[in-house]
Amino acid sequence: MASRNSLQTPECQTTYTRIGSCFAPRATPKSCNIARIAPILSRQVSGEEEENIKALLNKTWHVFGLSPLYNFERKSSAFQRYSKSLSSALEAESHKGCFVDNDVPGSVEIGGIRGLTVNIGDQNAVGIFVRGKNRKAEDAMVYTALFCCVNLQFCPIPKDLQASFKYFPIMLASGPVAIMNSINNWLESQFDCRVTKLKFSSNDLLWMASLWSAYTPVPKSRPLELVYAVPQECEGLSKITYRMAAADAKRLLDIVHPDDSDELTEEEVQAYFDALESHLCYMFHAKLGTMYLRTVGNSIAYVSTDGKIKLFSMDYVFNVLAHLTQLSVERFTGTSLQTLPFSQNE
Amino acid sequence: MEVDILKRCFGKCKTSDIFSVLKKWSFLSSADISHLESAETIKGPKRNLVGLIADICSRRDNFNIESVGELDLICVQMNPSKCIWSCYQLEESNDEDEAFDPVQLKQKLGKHLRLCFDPKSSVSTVLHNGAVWMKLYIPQQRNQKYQAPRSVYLIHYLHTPLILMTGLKASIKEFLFQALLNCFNCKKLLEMKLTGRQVDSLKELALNRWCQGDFSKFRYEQVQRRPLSEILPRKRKVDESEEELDPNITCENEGMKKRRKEMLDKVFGTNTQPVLEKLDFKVRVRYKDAKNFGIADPDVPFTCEVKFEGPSVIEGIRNLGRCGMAKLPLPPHLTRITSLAKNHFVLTDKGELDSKHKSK
Amino acid sequence: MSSKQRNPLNDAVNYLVTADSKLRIKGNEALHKSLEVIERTATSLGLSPDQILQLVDVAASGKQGETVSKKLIKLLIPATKVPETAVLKAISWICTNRPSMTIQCLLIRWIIVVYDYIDRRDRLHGLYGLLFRFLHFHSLLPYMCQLLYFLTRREDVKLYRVRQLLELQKNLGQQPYLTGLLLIYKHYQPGLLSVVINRNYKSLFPTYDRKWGAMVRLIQEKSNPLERSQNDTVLERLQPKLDTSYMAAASKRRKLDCIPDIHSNASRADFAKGGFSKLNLLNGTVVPFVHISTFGKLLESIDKIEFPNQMGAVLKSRLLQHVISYSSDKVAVTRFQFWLQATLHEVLLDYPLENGNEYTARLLRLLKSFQDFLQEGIPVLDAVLSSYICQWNGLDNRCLILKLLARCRLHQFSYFRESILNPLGKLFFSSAVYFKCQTIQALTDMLQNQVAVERLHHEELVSYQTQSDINTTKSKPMSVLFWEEEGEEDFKTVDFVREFIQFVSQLCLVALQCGRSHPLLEHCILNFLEMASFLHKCYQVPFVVFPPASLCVRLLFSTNPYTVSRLCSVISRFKCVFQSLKMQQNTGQLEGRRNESFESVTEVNKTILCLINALWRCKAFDHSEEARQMEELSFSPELVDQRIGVDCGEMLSIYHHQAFSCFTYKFIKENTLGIKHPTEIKVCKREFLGYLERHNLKGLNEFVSSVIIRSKPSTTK
Repeated sequence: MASRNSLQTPECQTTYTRIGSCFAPRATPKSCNIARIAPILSRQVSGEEEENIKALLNKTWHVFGLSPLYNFERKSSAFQRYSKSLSSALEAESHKGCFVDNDVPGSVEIGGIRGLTVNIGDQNAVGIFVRGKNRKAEDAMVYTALFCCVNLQFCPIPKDLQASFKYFPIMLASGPVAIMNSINNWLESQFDCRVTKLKFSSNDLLWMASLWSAYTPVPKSRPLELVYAVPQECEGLSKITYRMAAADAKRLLDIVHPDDSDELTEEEVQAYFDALESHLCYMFHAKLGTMYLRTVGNSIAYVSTDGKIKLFSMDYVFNVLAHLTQLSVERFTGTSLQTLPFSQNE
Repeated sequence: MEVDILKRCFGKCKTSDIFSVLKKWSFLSSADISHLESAETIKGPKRNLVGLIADICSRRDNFNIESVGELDLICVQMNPSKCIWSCYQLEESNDEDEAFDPVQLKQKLGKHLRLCFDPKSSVSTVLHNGAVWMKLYIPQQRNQKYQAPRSVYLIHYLHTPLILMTGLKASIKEFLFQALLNCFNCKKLLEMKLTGRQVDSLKELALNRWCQGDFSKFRYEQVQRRPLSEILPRKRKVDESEEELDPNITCENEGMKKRRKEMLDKVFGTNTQPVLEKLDFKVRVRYKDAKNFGIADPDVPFTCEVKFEGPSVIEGIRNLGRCGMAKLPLPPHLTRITSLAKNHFVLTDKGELDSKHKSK
Repeated sequence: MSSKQRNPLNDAVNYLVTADSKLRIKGNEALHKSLEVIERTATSLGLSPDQILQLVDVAASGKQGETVSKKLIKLLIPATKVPETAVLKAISWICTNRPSMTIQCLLIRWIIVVYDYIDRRDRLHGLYGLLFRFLHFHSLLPYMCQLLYFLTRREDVKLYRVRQLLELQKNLGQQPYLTGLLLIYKHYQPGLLSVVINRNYKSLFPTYDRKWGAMVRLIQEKSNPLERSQNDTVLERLQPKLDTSYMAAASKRRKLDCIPDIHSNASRADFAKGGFSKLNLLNGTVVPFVHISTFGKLLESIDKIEFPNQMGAVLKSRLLQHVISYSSDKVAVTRFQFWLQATLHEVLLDYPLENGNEYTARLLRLLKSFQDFLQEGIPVLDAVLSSYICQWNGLDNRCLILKLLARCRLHQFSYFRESILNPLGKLFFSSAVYFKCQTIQALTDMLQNQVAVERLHHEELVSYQTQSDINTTKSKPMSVLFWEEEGEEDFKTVDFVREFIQFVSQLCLVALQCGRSHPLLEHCILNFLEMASFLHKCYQVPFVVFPPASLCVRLLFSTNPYTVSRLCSVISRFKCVFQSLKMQQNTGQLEGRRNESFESVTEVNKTILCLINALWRCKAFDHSEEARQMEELSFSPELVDQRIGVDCGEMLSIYHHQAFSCFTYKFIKENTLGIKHPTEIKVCKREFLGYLERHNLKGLNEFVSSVIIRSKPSTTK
């Protein structure tokens, strides 16, 4: 059984690098990619922090990747200023052509969210909350966005410029698309960053599914669900949904991955998926390898290729967020970070 | 309330269809219809026209909920694929020859419903394409407003034990079934695990169980009855379109493609497959793979659920074979779908299909 | 300017001015006559400043009644300039509220029409606050907005005024004149207001008085033809051009263009001293870039410029590129790199199909012009391109990608080969001949760039890094914009160049084997070789790298006469370079270490020998001691078909060579020496050589004369 890692010592360091370190030895696809399985819990969480973590669950989030933010201050006065500016930006968008005063408080609140960090190199999370009228015309929280940085292993900001930039690899956002676009735009113009939608590839989904299957299933877990999209040439069939009970999925994983090792390698992931697909092939003679994996989910989270995620399990929230952080950093720097040595302690 | 229902029905239809619906309904006289056609409201927004129709109808005497129910049925008939239909089978009928009179049926059923449920329930019937379409409206409380979710639509193919229903709620199921059994003089109403949106396909799957797949060629009379005579059989439609043969492109696996096509034709036939939107399999089989031995508890079967979804799933499965995305020959539980008249299956390890009739 | 004309005018003016009480209008001959005179003069020549001053009084006071006043105001057309006092007088009359509302509006309109021609505007500007109060009067509002629009300077933008304007906007809705005034306010203080404007306002203020304005302009031009002849409206000349493109709605902007515009919506200048209560741009400590529109302004505030909020905008503005090229602000440069990294990833790698080709092409084009301006490669771009070309299909934006690659930075050759050259090679081998030509051209450019430019940058960076170990104060690298504190590898440029040329020559060889003497391909390859030969002379590198002999000999077999000729000139140039290097070494100008260049001398000699044997000395496939080492030209003569009738040694000579066959034919036809067969040309080789040279095949002559030492004036057999 994977040992539960309860406390992290504060010596976990993030490594820094030069920008555009282009010709670093490129990781070929066949190299050994490793990921940790043990659940990450930073410290004893206080009540407020637990609330914050719970607020992440059971909600569909869009995932965005952010480049480093320039001139982002964490003082409360700065937060007030930002929220005023953002509210007037939102109002200007909704009333086009009308000038809006930037100094008037509006429907937006920006504040720090505690409890979502693991490493000392992680920035404390920041949340944007927009109030408005929801569909029932009541006053409610219409849009939420969270910038997080969880277990950052590799910071792309050079050491001497740390003061000017803050790096939040991922932003989770939930709400109407119009507000999302306006807020992303405001972020880009205010902090000189770039907000890109973090779409996952099928390979990323494979990794996530394998990692999550490795976690100990609770008796009433959701089954492992894989949704494949059938290619266009096969007319008439659009998708195949494949659900397997969590305990059975774990059994399959145990064949390829010995229990005592705490790391999952690429070969094991491939073998695991081969096993799953071959079982379906045995049942229906359909070769899932020819189809595209679109959605993956089990009792920990539910993820799809267009960048949407839904978290279910509180214990493993940090693992999921850490994995997303890593994906985002990789996407930004264009390198495969898993070739770098880990400095985490057990 | 009837006006309300009428407005809703016309709201669902397209403006261009309104007049054809009116003609089919045959509630208004042709004089009225021609009057409407020449009225100026045609050019205006739809609701003006609908308002005018409502006015005319409400002045008639026999404008009651049943006639409006017929209008509703005609609208549903225009595109039945908006609802999901489930199939039921009547069994052990008592009388052998039953002269099915729709009017009688309506009265009988209406009486039963008013006994079991609210006295305001109503039944409307329309004959369409060789079947009796019925709308059962069972309001919940003494509520004046029209409750659209409380109507159940029913299709019964005459002289067959097949009934298709949509909009059935769990609360009224028991009593409704009782009422139906009484009307049709049968002892049992079984739920076939067959659901879908295409009424014609469902009917075909349910009724023509034994001539699907390759045997459908007999049904469509595509086989030459008298091979020795000179009369040529009707040409089968070529459903595989011949691709433009570019002389510079050669297909390397011509032979394999041919073999595949033959195998699939033998199983599925060359005619279009009936349309189903979903196939649901719950499987409990042991894990068998030569590479991966060493699995814990090899005798405990795996519980899986596999769903195939798409515009026409059976066609899709056939195409899986054709494109090479499935290993041929396809397993029997896929090839015999058309003969099983179901789309929810439970497979277990005995090798045979274990179709337990579990009620929902 | 006869006195006769002037006098009636003066009389008329005097008449109006000195009238104490209201004159009768009906039947008043004098009044009408004077008005007529004034009108005539005004519409033909314009009025003098004094006259305007006097008449303003009359008109604005309303003493003579509304009709007269209106007429007079319309006639206040200046011949030269309008005195400021006149304008001030008009405004003071408005303050008294004595003239009617129409007259007041008309006065303001007059001020707007002649605004251009007021001689001084300082005192007028001093009345800004007063004029602002007039905004409360709704009938005056549109005109007053326009006037204030002209008058507004940076120091006039105050928070309470902004709030008043917003209040007006709320009450009246969106009016174009209010929008205009607010826009100019936003321009001066970007952080105060937010707005989203989708339309492009062509004219913010409707032109009320076109004819009037036209007449004024006409008269001004007549009297001051030298003044200027610009045709832009008053609006644009007096105020900076307001570009509302960056205020468009978010989704629209993203779809059209991923490059941000220049804006300072979150300017730091606002927050320098504690919030909005003290707007302190007055002392001009920081100038947001939005305010800089010309090069002159840039020079004025060269040390106070604040970069725009989104550094990506540097790609669009040449001025900003100038600023960034001299600034030592690493933060700004880093911002740019981060933005570029994220955008390029998104556009090229992650979602290449989402945006149109034009979108990507524009970004790449702007990047290229930026790099050309900076004369430097951007490291981030290199990184992204190296991942991109692994999955590139060779078609999309081909020219741009190759040109961008040509500017890439200097790295150790092993990395270079793995990241860039190998993927390019893969595409190269599997593509048509035009792609090959373009690639070779790009590689030539790359070679030139690396030797001429990047080598110097690299040396500077390396010396900067090594210097940091010894001294405490470092002098930052001056010539490079994108540099890092550490991580620059130290290696010798000569190794890089040698391996690079080796690699490219191999590519060329394979290409030549695939094609059949394709002229364009050979041309590009020869360009490359010429570049390799120019390196020493043009860029003062202390080494020379000779391309593999196999390539040279392969080119000898081409069917194109100019190829052979150029090849000869390239070889002779290499010879010169080697000689000059030798001389430099002998005189001690080179560094004391053994120069690796001389290791390839034997190869050079072999090539020269081979070529001259083939072309001139008719010993092409010679098996003598020296030539035998040349594997490329060794095969046994028995394999040659004897039916050709030509001695195989002569087959590649200039008169039998397949490339020159057309010239040989012509020579035989035109010659006066009675030669009927090519073999006979052997006797008069020199004449033939001269003949070829006249047809621009100079390389041969150059080569032959540099290699062959003529001992006798006549040719030998």
